[in-house]
Amino acid sequence: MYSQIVSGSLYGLASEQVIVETDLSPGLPAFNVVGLPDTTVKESKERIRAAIVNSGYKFPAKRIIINLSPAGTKKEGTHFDLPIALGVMTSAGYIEKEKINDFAFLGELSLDGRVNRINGALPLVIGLRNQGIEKIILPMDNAEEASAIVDVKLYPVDHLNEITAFFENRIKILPFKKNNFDPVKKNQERLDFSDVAGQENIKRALQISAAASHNVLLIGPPGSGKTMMAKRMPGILPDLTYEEKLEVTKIYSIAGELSADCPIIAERPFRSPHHTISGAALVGGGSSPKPGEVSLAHFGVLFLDELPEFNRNILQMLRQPMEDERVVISRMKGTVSYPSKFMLLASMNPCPCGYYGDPTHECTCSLIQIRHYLSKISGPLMDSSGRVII
Amino acid sequence: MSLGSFGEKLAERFLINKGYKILERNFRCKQGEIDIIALDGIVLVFIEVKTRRNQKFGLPCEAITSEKLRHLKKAVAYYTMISSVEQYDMRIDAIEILIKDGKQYLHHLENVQE
Repeated sequence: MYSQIVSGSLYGLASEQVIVETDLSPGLPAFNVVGLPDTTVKESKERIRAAIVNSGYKFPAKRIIINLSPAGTKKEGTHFDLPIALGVMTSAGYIEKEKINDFAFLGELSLDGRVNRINGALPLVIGLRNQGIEKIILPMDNAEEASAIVDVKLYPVDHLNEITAFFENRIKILPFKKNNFDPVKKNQERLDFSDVAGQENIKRALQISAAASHNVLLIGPPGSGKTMMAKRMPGILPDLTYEEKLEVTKIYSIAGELSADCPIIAERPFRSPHHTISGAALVGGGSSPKPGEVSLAHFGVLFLDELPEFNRNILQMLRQPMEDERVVISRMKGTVSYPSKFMLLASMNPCPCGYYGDPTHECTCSLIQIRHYLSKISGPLMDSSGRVII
Repeated sequence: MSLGSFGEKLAERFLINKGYKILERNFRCKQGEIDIIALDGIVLVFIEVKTRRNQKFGLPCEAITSEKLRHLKKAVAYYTMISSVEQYDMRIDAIEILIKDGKQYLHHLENVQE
């Protein structure tokens, strides 16, 4: 009893179609997944068994072999739960094979049979569409995110039972429609650039760099408003285009930073990592590489407050992504490249005490101290940004 | 008669009443031992019987550890090979029996592996 179900697999931002083949054969009951699954996919066996039983079906006491084809590429992600479960159910005869041929499936299962949200829904849907699939069944929580793609029919589901009822024509699921990116809830209350009083030269400098996405380094004494102005930058950045929104949302989808409240990134991202950030978190990394802050700031602003406090090695890592506007991460499992076209906004004091050149305070630093402080930022990095002295 | 074989007799009678066809008792090979091999309709069932007089060391079925199951599976693999029954659906069951105050409690657990 053989069946096949269409699903997808992610690699970096790219996605390819995966056929989940299921075969039930007589013998001692067993449940094996082959085709280079990683731990998340292997663990899915337990979720699937419980989900099928708790949805009111008998788990077939057969030798169950699942093959994720093409079998030569590594598969990861919990979105294989649903296609594997449906493969088992179709092979066991609970669902008619002919009915599911046109559909692709994505979704994580809960032990009680509910379908949970997954990471990377948008890039997966884009990949499946590019391979000519027109109907996709996916978790309700991912529907809004994936609805950015208009030329596929998305059937959102909440429970495994809904899918079986749908294929038995007991219920109707209407294709999800909505969203042209606009009616999206704001992630947070946006700070207003009009709060900035005075400082006309700096305002003009930031305005120009916002318009043209120039890098800026703000140098000034404590309390002069560097951080305050930087935090208000998102308010004066130009709007994202449709393609840009799509690309940014894809990155956030893979990083697992989307939620039901914020299914689409419709505004330019503003990322301000703390200066203790690690290299992998900044440029991306992990054994199966995930995007880092430079990619999460794609088409937006990467704000590094107190620039000299950052580890020098960490800052050096920024050079290649800034130059190439994409970052290439190579690991054992392969090489992934994520886009990283961001505007670097950084702030620092002119000297360790902070008051060098300040008209009202006296600077207590020695010349050597100041030189040492400034040398923490390498020449090339310094050269790549326009400087504004407050 | 030892407690073990008494329990096995009890289990056998229970299975016959349930409509199972007993094929083998105490099948022994190098890999291990299978207490009862029976046919439940079209499904070949391998049954491990555990009998206890008290619960001092837990329920009888708790004594079937993953180690024991592994031996059992090896014996099952050997049996299926020598008797060419690969085309059958198969299952491993456990029957736990507790004999206390002259009363017998029997519990049949289906498909216990993993």
